[in-house]
Amino acid sequence: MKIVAVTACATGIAHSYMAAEALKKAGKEAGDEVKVEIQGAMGIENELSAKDIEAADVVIFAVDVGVRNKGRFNGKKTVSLGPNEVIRNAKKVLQEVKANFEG
Amino acid sequence: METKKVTFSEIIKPETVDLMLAPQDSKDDLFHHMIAMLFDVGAIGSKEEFLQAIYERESLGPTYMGEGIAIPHGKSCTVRKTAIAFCRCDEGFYYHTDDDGGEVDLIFMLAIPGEMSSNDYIRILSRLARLLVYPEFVDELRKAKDYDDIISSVEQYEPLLDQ
Repeated sequence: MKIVAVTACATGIAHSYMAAEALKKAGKEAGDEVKVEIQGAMGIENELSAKDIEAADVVIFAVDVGVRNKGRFNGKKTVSLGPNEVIRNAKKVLQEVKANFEG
Repeated sequence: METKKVTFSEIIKPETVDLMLAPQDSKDDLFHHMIAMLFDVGAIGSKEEFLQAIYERESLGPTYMGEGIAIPHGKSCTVRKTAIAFCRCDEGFYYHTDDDGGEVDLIFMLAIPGEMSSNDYIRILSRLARLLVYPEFVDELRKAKDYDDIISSVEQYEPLLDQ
């Protein structure tokens, strides 16, 4: 499954990066293609391209602040949750997202 | 001239590492202890102001990260240089947050200057945060006998981030 995600948090120093790493790691372990854009203190990193978004089966917003440039995701299936949930249970989050959106 | 990259050992000093922390009665006691360490190495100018910045961040959302790890952090003009304090408490104790919190044994406190002049510093803080997602790295932190063990674990596991 192709998944794209955006992570963002209040100060953009710790949670956004941990959540991004947790998703990438869980994706690698499960054999899914996961691309993660980090909206943090250094601005937008690993920005998702229009192509990435177009190709994605589902979009995960792991944020506790607003998503910048959210319009890019109009028309996509999205899931929103807090970065903490992703950090604590990235594997489970991915499994649930897949179960809900596959097929 | 080539610009030198900031290294982990520049922002975490032997004096800001405590591997024998006793269980803390409250988060407030923990914060005071860690802030004193940062103050003693000259990373912050005012303990009170930095404590306030830490609590401001706490009010925005939990800094308990699961798996026994907490990362309280504060951004403030009273921070003179980017620094990290690290405490380990082998017995563990409860770290309260607005939602629930949890038992912690590894606590990192990040001091971030109000005017973050260089992305290099954010990068190094973010790399530490990312490393904490890897259980094998966290295990090393739990086994570390001294400051040097911690620095060498970071160096050993950092390549995971660039895969």
